[in-house]
Amino acid sequence: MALQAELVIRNRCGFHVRPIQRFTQLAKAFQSDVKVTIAGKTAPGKSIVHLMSLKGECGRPFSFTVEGPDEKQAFEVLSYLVENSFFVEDELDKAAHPTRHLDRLASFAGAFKSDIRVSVGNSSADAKDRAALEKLGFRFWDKPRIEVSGPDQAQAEKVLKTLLQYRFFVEEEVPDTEAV
Amino acid sequence: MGLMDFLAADALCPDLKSTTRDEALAEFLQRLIECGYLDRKDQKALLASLLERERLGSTAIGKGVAVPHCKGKTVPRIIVTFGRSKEGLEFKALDGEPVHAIFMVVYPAERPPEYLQVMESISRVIQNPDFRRFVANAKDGQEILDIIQEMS
Repeated sequence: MALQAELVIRNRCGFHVRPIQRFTQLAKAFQSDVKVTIAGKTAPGKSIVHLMSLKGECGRPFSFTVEGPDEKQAFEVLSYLVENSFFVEDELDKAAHPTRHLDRLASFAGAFKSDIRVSVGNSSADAKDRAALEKLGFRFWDKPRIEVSGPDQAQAEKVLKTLLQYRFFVEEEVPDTEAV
Repeated sequence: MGLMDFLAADALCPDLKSTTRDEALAEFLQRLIECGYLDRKDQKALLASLLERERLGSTAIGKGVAVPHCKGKTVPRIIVTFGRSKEGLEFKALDGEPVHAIFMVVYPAERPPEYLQVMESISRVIQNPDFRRFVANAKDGQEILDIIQEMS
Protein backbone atom coordinates (compact mmCIF):
# COMPACT_ATOMS: atom_id res chain seq x y z
CA MET A 1 0.00 0.00 0.00
CA ALA A 2 1.54 3.32 -1.04
CA LEU A 3 2.16 6.13 1.41
CA GLN A 4 1.62 9.71 0.36
CA ALA A 5 2.72 13.00 1.90
CA GLU A 6 1.16 16.36 1.10
CA LEU A 7 3.57 19.10 2.09
CA VAL A 8 4.59 22.56 1.00
CA ILE A 9 7.93 23.78 -0.31
CA ARG A 10 9.10 26.11 2.44
CA ASN A 11 12.53 27.26 1.42
CA ARG A 12 12.57 30.55 -0.39
CA CYS A 13 14.78 29.28 -3.18
CA GLY A 14 12.42 26.43 -3.90
CA PHE A 15 13.09 22.86 -4.96
CA HIS A 16 16.31 23.48 -6.87
CA VAL A 17 19.49 21.50 -7.42
CA ARG A 18 20.69 21.32 -3.82
CA PRO A 19 17.41 20.08 -2.28
CA ILE A 20 16.79 17.84 -5.28
CA GLN A 21 20.17 16.16 -4.82
CA ARG A 22 19.49 15.54 -1.15
CA PHE A 23 16.05 14.16 -1.87
CA THR A 24 17.30 11.79 -4.56
CA GLN A 25 20.34 10.66 -2.56
CA LEU A 26 18.10 9.63 0.31
CA ALA A 27 15.36 8.21 -1.92
CA LYS A 28 17.92 5.97 -3.62
CA ALA A 29 18.77 4.35 -0.27
CA PHE A 30 15.42 2.56 -0.45
CA GLN A 31 14.07 -0.16 -2.65
CA SER A 32 10.62 1.44 -2.77
CA ASP A 33 9.47 3.44 -5.74
CA VAL A 34 9.29 7.20 -5.07
CA LYS A 35 7.34 9.73 -7.10
CA VAL A 36 7.18 13.50 -6.62
CA THR A 37 4.31 15.72 -7.77
CA ILE A 38 4.44 19.51 -7.96
CA ALA A 39 1.66 21.55 -9.54
CA GLY A 40 0.13 18.52 -11.17
CA LYS A 41 3.35 17.31 -12.76
CA THR A 42 4.93 14.05 -11.56
CA ALA A 43 8.51 12.84 -11.85
CA PRO A 44 10.48 9.87 -10.53
CA GLY A 45 11.87 10.74 -7.10
CA LYS A 46 15.26 9.16 -7.71
CA SER A 47 16.13 11.14 -10.85
CA ILE A 48 17.77 14.54 -10.38
CA VAL A 49 17.28 15.52 -14.00
CA HIS A 50 13.58 14.71 -14.02
CA LEU A 51 12.96 16.46 -10.70
CA MET A 52 14.69 19.56 -12.05
CA SER A 53 11.92 19.80 -14.63
CA LEU A 54 9.21 20.23 -11.96
CA LYS A 55 9.80 23.92 -11.20
CA GLY A 56 9.25 23.63 -7.47
CA GLU A 57 8.79 27.23 -6.36
CA CYS A 58 8.52 28.24 -2.73
CA GLY A 59 5.00 27.94 -1.44
CA ARG A 60 3.94 25.30 -3.95
CA PRO A 61 2.31 22.08 -2.75
CA PHE A 62 4.80 19.25 -2.81
CA SER A 63 3.55 15.72 -2.61
CA PHE A 64 5.43 12.50 -2.85
CA THR A 65 4.38 8.87 -2.79
CA VAL A 66 6.41 5.90 -1.69
CA GLU A 67 5.50 2.34 -2.51
CA GLY A 68 7.44 -0.82 -1.81
CA PRO A 69 8.92 -3.09 0.84
CA ASP A 70 10.57 -0.31 2.83
CA GLU A 71 8.02 2.41 2.22
CA LYS A 72 7.48 3.27 5.89
CA GLN A 73 11.15 3.98 6.48
CA ALA A 74 11.48 5.89 3.21
CA PHE A 75 8.38 7.91 4.01
CA GLU A 76 9.68 8.95 7.42
CA VAL A 77 13.13 9.89 6.20
CA LEU A 78 11.90 11.84 3.17
CA SER A 79 9.11 13.57 5.12
CA TYR A 80 11.62 14.77 7.69
CA LEU A 81 13.86 16.08 4.94
CA VAL A 82 11.05 17.98 3.21
CA GLU A 83 9.60 19.38 6.44
CA ASN A 84 13.05 20.68 7.34
CA SER A 85 13.45 22.57 4.08
CA PHE A 86 15.71 19.85 2.65
CA PHE A 87 18.31 21.05 5.18
CA VAL A 88 18.91 24.15 3.04
CA GLU A 89 20.18 26.62 5.60
CA ASP A 90 20.19 29.90 3.66
CA GLU A 91 17.64 31.41 6.06
CA LEU A 92 18.35 29.36 9.16
CA ASP A 93 19.48 31.05 12.36
CA LYS A 94 22.40 28.66 12.71
CA ALA A 95 23.47 29.91 16.11
CA ALA A 96 20.04 28.98 17.47
CA HIS A 97 20.42 25.37 16.31
CA PRO A 98 23.99 24.36 17.16
CA THR A 99 23.19 20.68 17.57
CA ARG A 100 20.89 20.24 14.61
CA HIS A 101 23.18 17.49 13.36
CA LEU A 102 22.07 15.41 16.36
CA ASP A 103 18.40 16.12 15.57
CA ARG A 104 18.93 14.86 12.04
CA LEU A 105 20.76 11.75 13.14
CA ALA A 106 18.17 10.86 15.77
CA SER A 107 15.25 11.48 13.41
CA PHE A 108 16.72 9.44 10.60
CA ALA A 109 17.78 6.64 12.92
CA GLY A 110 14.28 6.63 14.41
CA ALA A 111 12.80 5.79 11.02
CA PHE A 112 14.36 2.33 11.07
CA LYS A 113 13.51 -0.84 12.96
CA SER A 114 17.16 -1.86 13.29
CA ASP A 115 19.28 -1.18 16.34
CA ILE A 116 21.62 1.68 15.61
CA ARG A 117 24.51 2.66 17.83
CA VAL A 118 26.84 5.62 17.50
CA SER A 119 30.32 5.48 18.97
CA VAL A 120 32.90 8.14 19.64
CA GLY A 121 36.09 6.92 21.21
CA ASN A 122 35.11 4.46 23.93
CA SER A 123 31.63 5.88 24.41
CA SER A 124 28.54 4.85 22.53
CA ALA A 125 24.85 5.67 22.47
CA ASP A 126 21.59 4.62 20.95
CA ALA A 127 21.31 6.76 17.81
CA LYS A 128 17.56 7.06 18.31
CA ASP A 129 17.99 8.59 21.77
CA ARG A 130 18.41 12.33 21.27
CA ALA A 131 19.41 12.98 24.87
CA ALA A 132 22.03 10.23 24.74
CA LEU A 133 23.47 11.72 21.57
CA GLU A 134 23.74 15.06 23.35
CA LYS A 135 25.77 13.41 26.12
CA LEU A 136 28.02 11.75 23.56
CA GLY A 137 28.77 15.28 22.40
CA PHE A 138 30.23 14.95 18.92
CA ARG A 139 30.34 17.86 16.50
CA PHE A 140 29.04 17.94 12.97
CA TRP A 141 32.51 17.56 11.51
CA ASP A 142 33.41 14.54 13.65
CA LYS A 143 33.11 11.10 12.15
CA PRO A 144 31.43 8.86 14.70
CA ARG A 145 31.25 5.14 14.06
CA ILE A 146 27.80 3.82 13.33
CA GLU A 147 26.75 0.23 13.76
CA VAL A 148 23.46 -1.05 12.47
CA SER A 149 21.87 -4.38 13.13
CA GLY A 150 18.39 -5.44 12.13
CA PRO A 151 15.88 -6.07 9.39
CA ASP A 152 16.40 -2.80 7.51
CA GLN A 153 20.13 -2.60 8.04
CA ALA A 154 21.02 -1.97 4.39
CA GLN A 155 18.74 1.02 4.04
CA ALA A 156 19.71 2.47 7.42
CA GLU A 157 23.40 2.17 6.61
CA LYS A 158 22.97 3.94 3.27
CA VAL A 159 20.99 6.81 4.77
CA LEU A 160 23.32 7.29 7.72
CA LYS A 161 26.41 6.97 5.52
CA THR A 162 25.01 9.77 3.37
CA LEU A 163 24.39 11.86 6.46
CA LEU A 164 27.97 11.40 7.65
CA GLN A 165 29.45 11.92 4.20
CA TYR A 166 27.90 15.37 3.98
CA ARG A 167 28.57 16.28 7.61
CA PHE A 168 24.90 15.92 8.49
CA PHE A 169 24.15 18.52 5.77
CA VAL A 170 25.22 21.26 8.18
CA GLU A 171 26.04 24.21 5.96
CA GLU A 172 28.83 25.71 8.00
CA GLU A 173 32.57 25.64 7.62
CA VAL A 174 34.58 23.57 10.01
CA PRO A 175 36.31 26.00 12.43
CA ASP A 176 39.92 26.67 11.40
CA THR A 177 41.25 25.24 14.62
CA GLU A 178 39.58 21.95 13.83
CA ALA A 179 40.29 21.68 10.10
CA VAL A 180 42.58 18.81 9.21
CA MET B 1 11.55 33.20 -21.31
CA GLY B 2 13.62 30.17 -22.21
CA LEU B 3 17.15 28.93 -21.74
CA MET B 4 18.33 30.70 -24.89
CA ASP B 5 17.39 34.05 -23.37
CA PHE B 6 19.96 33.52 -20.63
CA LEU B 7 22.66 31.58 -22.46
CA ALA B 8 25.86 33.52 -23.13
CA ALA B 9 26.02 32.23 -26.69
CA ASP B 10 29.35 33.87 -27.53
CA ALA B 11 31.03 32.75 -24.31
CA LEU B 12 30.68 28.98 -24.61
CA CYS B 13 33.73 26.81 -23.95
CA PRO B 14 33.41 24.05 -26.57
CA ASP B 15 36.87 22.73 -25.78
CA LEU B 16 37.81 23.27 -22.16
CA LYS B 17 41.55 23.32 -21.68
CA SER B 18 41.37 22.70 -17.94
CA THR B 19 42.14 19.31 -16.48
CA THR B 20 40.54 19.82 -13.06
CA ARG B 21 37.14 20.97 -11.87
CA ASP B 22 38.48 24.06 -10.13
CA GLU B 23 40.47 25.13 -13.18
CA ALA B 24 37.43 24.60 -15.41
CA LEU B 25 35.26 26.81 -13.22
CA ALA B 26 37.93 29.51 -13.40
CA GLU B 27 38.10 29.05 -17.18
CA PHE B 28 34.34 29.58 -17.49
CA LEU B 29 34.52 32.79 -15.47
CA GLN B 30 37.51 34.02 -17.46
CA ARG B 31 35.60 33.51 -20.69
CA LEU B 32 32.54 35.33 -19.36
CA ILE B 33 34.76 38.24 -18.31
CA GLU B 34 36.47 38.37 -21.70
CA CYS B 35 33.07 38.50 -23.41
CA GLY B 36 31.84 41.27 -21.14
CA TYR B 37 29.24 39.40 -19.09
CA LEU B 38 31.07 39.76 -15.80
CA ASP B 39 33.52 42.19 -14.25
CA ARG B 40 37.06 41.01 -13.61
CA LYS B 41 36.94 42.34 -10.07
CA ASP B 42 34.23 39.79 -9.26
CA GLN B 43 36.17 36.80 -10.54
CA LYS B 44 37.76 35.77 -7.26
CA ALA B 45 34.55 36.05 -5.23
CA LEU B 46 32.52 34.12 -7.82
CA LEU B 47 35.08 31.35 -8.01
CA ALA B 48 35.03 31.09 -4.22
CA SER B 49 31.22 30.88 -4.29
CA LEU B 50 31.25 28.19 -6.96
CA LEU B 51 33.71 26.13 -4.96
CA GLU B 52 31.72 26.65 -1.77
CA ARG B 53 28.66 25.32 -3.54
CA GLU B 54 30.63 22.24 -4.63
CA ARG B 55 31.66 21.74 -1.03
CA LEU B 56 27.99 21.48 -0.01
CA GLY B 57 27.54 18.73 -2.55
CA SER B 58 28.85 18.01 -6.02
CA THR B 59 26.79 19.57 -8.79
CA ALA B 60 27.57 16.63 -11.03
CA ILE B 61 24.10 15.20 -11.50
CA GLY B 62 25.11 11.98 -13.19
CA LYS B 63 25.89 10.62 -16.65
CA GLY B 64 28.73 13.02 -17.23
CA VAL B 65 26.82 16.26 -16.71
CA ALA B 66 27.38 18.97 -14.10
CA VAL B 67 25.48 22.16 -13.28
CA PRO B 68 27.79 24.29 -11.12
CA HIS B 69 26.07 27.48 -9.99
CA CYS B 70 26.30 30.35 -7.53
CA LYS B 71 24.97 33.78 -6.81
CA GLY B 72 27.01 36.97 -6.97
CA LYS B 73 26.29 40.39 -5.52
CA THR B 74 27.32 42.14 -8.70
CA VAL B 75 25.95 39.64 -11.21
CA PRO B 76 23.45 41.72 -13.19
CA ARG B 77 21.13 38.90 -14.29
CA ILE B 78 21.00 35.13 -14.74
CA ILE B 79 23.90 34.08 -16.96
CA VAL B 80 24.19 30.53 -18.29
CA THR B 81 27.17 29.16 -20.10
CA PHE B 82 28.14 25.75 -21.39
CA GLY B 83 31.43 23.93 -21.66
CA ARG B 84 32.61 20.60 -23.01
CA SER B 85 35.55 18.61 -21.72
CA LYS B 86 36.60 15.87 -24.12
CA GLU B 87 38.92 14.20 -21.60
CA GLY B 88 36.42 14.46 -18.74
CA LEU B 89 36.76 16.21 -15.40
CA GLU B 90 36.68 14.75 -11.91
CA PHE B 91 33.66 16.37 -10.25
CA LYS B 92 33.12 13.93 -7.38
CA ALA B 93 29.92 12.77 -9.04
CA LEU B 94 27.83 10.30 -7.08
CA ASP B 95 27.92 7.86 -9.98
CA GLY B 96 31.69 8.24 -10.13
CA GLU B 97 31.66 9.23 -13.79
CA PRO B 98 33.86 12.04 -15.09
CA VAL B 99 32.01 15.11 -16.36
CA HIS B 100 32.09 15.99 -20.03
CA ALA B 101 29.22 18.51 -20.29
CA ILE B 102 28.84 21.46 -17.95
CA PHE B 103 26.10 24.04 -17.71
CA MET B 104 27.31 26.81 -15.40
CA VAL B 105 24.80 29.30 -14.00
CA VAL B 106 25.52 32.51 -12.10
CA TYR B 107 22.73 34.76 -10.89
CA PRO B 108 22.11 37.88 -8.81
CA ALA B 109 22.08 37.77 -5.02
CA GLU B 110 18.30 38.13 -5.07
CA ARG B 111 17.54 35.03 -7.07
CA PRO B 112 15.22 36.01 -9.94
CA PRO B 113 12.00 34.02 -10.32
CA GLU B 114 13.20 32.82 -13.73
CA TYR B 115 15.95 30.77 -12.08
CA LEU B 116 13.87 27.64 -11.63
CA GLN B 117 12.62 28.01 -15.18
CA VAL B 118 16.21 28.05 -16.38
CA MET B 119 16.96 24.90 -14.38
CA GLU B 120 13.86 23.30 -15.87
CA SER B 121 15.08 24.16 -19.37
CA ILE B 122 18.53 22.75 -18.65
CA SER B 123 16.98 19.55 -17.33
CA ARG B 124 14.93 19.25 -20.52
CA VAL B 125 18.10 19.44 -22.61
CA ILE B 126 19.91 16.92 -20.43
CA GLN B 127 16.97 14.52 -20.52
CA ASN B 128 17.21 14.24 -24.28
CA PRO B 129 18.81 10.84 -24.88
CA ASP B 130 20.86 12.21 -27.79
CA PHE B 131 22.21 15.24 -25.97
CA ARG B 132 25.49 13.81 -24.70
CA ARG B 133 26.29 12.01 -27.94
CA PHE B 134 25.51 15.03 -30.14
CA VAL B 135 27.54 17.38 -27.96
CA ALA B 136 30.48 14.97 -27.86
CA ASN B 137 30.49 14.85 -31.68
CA ALA B 138 29.84 18.54 -32.32
CA LYS B 139 32.66 20.16 -34.28
CA ASP B 140 32.51 23.62 -32.70
CA GLY B 141 30.68 25.99 -30.38
CA GLN B 142 28.10 26.96 -33.01
CA GLU B 143 27.08 23.36 -33.44
CA ILE B 144 26.78 22.93 -29.67
CA LEU B 145 24.66 26.07 -29.54
CA ASP B 146 22.37 24.69 -32.24
CA ILE B 147 21.98 21.45 -30.30
CA ILE B 148 21.08 23.25 -27.09
CA GLN B 149 18.63 25.51 -28.90
CA GLU B 150 16.92 22.60 -30.58
CA MET B 151 16.64 20.57 -27.39
CA SER B 152 15.61 23.34 -24.98
